[in-house]
Amino acid sequence: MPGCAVSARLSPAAFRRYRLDAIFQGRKWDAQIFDRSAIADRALLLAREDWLELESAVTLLYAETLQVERRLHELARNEGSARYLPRRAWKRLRSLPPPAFDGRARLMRFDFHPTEEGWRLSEVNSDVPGGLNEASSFHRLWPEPTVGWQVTGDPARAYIGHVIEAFGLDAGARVGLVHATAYSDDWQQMALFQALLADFGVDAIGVAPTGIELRSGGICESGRPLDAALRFFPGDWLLFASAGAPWFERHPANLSNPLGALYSQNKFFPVACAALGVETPTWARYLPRTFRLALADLGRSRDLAKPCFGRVGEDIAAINELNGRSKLGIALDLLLGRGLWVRQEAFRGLNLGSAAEPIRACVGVYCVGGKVIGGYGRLTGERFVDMRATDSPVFVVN
Amino acid sequence: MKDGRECFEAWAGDHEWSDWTKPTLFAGAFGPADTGGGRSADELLAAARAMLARYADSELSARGADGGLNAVVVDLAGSDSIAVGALLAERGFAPVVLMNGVTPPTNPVVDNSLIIRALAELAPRLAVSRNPSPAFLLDSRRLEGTPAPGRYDNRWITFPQDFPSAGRLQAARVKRCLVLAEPNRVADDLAHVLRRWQEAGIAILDPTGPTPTRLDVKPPPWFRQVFYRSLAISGMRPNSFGGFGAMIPIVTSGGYGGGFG
Repeated sequence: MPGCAVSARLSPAAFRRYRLDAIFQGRKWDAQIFDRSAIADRALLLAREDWLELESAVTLLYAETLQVERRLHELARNEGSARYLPRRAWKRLRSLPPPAFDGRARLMRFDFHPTEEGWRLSEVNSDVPGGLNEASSFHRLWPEPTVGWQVTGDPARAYIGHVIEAFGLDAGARVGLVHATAYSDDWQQMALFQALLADFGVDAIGVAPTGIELRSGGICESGRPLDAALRFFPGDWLLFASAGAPWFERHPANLSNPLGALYSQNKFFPVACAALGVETPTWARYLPRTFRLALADLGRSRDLAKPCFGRVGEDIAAINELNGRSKLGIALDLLLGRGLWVRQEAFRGLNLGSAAEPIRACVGVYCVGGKVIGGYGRLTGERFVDMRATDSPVFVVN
Repeated sequence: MKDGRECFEAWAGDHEWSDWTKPTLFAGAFGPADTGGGRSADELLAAARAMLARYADSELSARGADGGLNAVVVDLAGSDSIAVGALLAERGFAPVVLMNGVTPPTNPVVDNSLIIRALAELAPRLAVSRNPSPAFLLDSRRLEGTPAPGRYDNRWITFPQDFPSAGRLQAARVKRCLVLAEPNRVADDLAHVLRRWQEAGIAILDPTGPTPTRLDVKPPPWFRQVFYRSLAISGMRPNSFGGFGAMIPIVTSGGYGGGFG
């Protein structure tokens, strides 16, 4: 069983100060969702051997994931290859040029859950992993003594350092921060990157995908070339939109993350790998068994239904607990090809709280360039760790 | 006010609705450069008094005759909304700033500078009573403006998760919600919030007439759809991926092929 626990609650006064620090120093602007705080009043504590296990697993998973993307792309390019996306999206994905599989400055976040059977992986956010503000500041702002507790890293700073080196950026370079500009919770992460890039003398410009011109491998903003771009606009939105075509036809170099990430961001990829004989031993060890969701499953399965491009746990549900309307919606998706779903064996997260106040946890572990650079926790009293969960720092204890 | 944090603390206050105050405007580009121009606190409050004079006093009090609380949603233009919120604080309400548009360094589609100025001007004057009712403050200009090359599309919309749930409001004995909007209509994004409250039994009222009239908020497009947030944010303007880019997550053609699984 994983060595994993939660700290005592902060006092209300300490939590109030910490929350303000998280908002103003940690740039956590989406601090409240409905009636719940998005900031936890507890820290997540991992035993050293558990963190070492996660570090080791993530290093292997990262390498396997890159291999999977490249191998699935090779196979997808074959004539008559089996298609597991709508026609237009599939055509775009299989036509991606080599820069879309550039492994430089490649960032991923793997989400692990403690269970009675050990650590289980729910997904990789390999396309546009968020949460870097929380992961890079909450441990620093935690107001209680942390003697004997060690932090897991500062992933935002490590990522930006890696970007600078990987793309050879010098002072005076221009970098685009490509994101959905209406999301203030996206801009909070862009603001952090802007500050970190400024430390290197790099000018970072927040921009929507439509503000970018793509020219034979180059990227321009306002008519001026960018030396690199960091993309936090979801690749699947580009994949499915008519205006997304240029990103696939003229995929730029020096883009982090490149759009080849969509092969692994798609939760269907373990099914595709199994069918195509692509071996993923570390994924197989940590990820619950995953299948294509069939219509018949909606009648009797006790597994989970997951949308293939979900990102924050929206729409994940136990199939046998879905109401008729939800089942009908999924059935229509399956019949009409409007959405792609997987069925995944459920795991029961370890209760780190009590019977009266259950607490389940998830640890998101970041990796760039094959190196683990830190993580953060998400805590919930619900059965699933989803958008209702609260964010917490992770500390490693002996 | 020295900085955004101090101003945020003044507006958020210390009451049961404090946690809903959105920090985006305060934590963004809040600073001296953003606080030039605009009206003084006295001018802002005078304008707010003139606006509130259109409504019957009794209907804009925090408590109804039956002992239930009145919540208010103020959906007016920019600093007017802030000024009305400050004035409502004198009537037993807690102004809750729910404005969520970012303030980029240059060339935004929606100019937030006068809002920031108003927040800073009025913060020292705020006096929230004990056990207040909530007055949620929005900017009715949040969807105005036309993005163009070189402009930062900081238009925004409000979402149900930005507000307390109907259950939370009812637990605080809120029975009615008055909507102060200019123009006098419920915007689509706000309808997603008010319809939920209405379904739970909170009366939604238009206070502009001689006596308040009950509004029937119809279910807006994509009401209660899980993907509403993504769709709404990405679906406001065709042919763009800005904050309000194309209808991105909707798959429009083709089916799934292959024989996996």
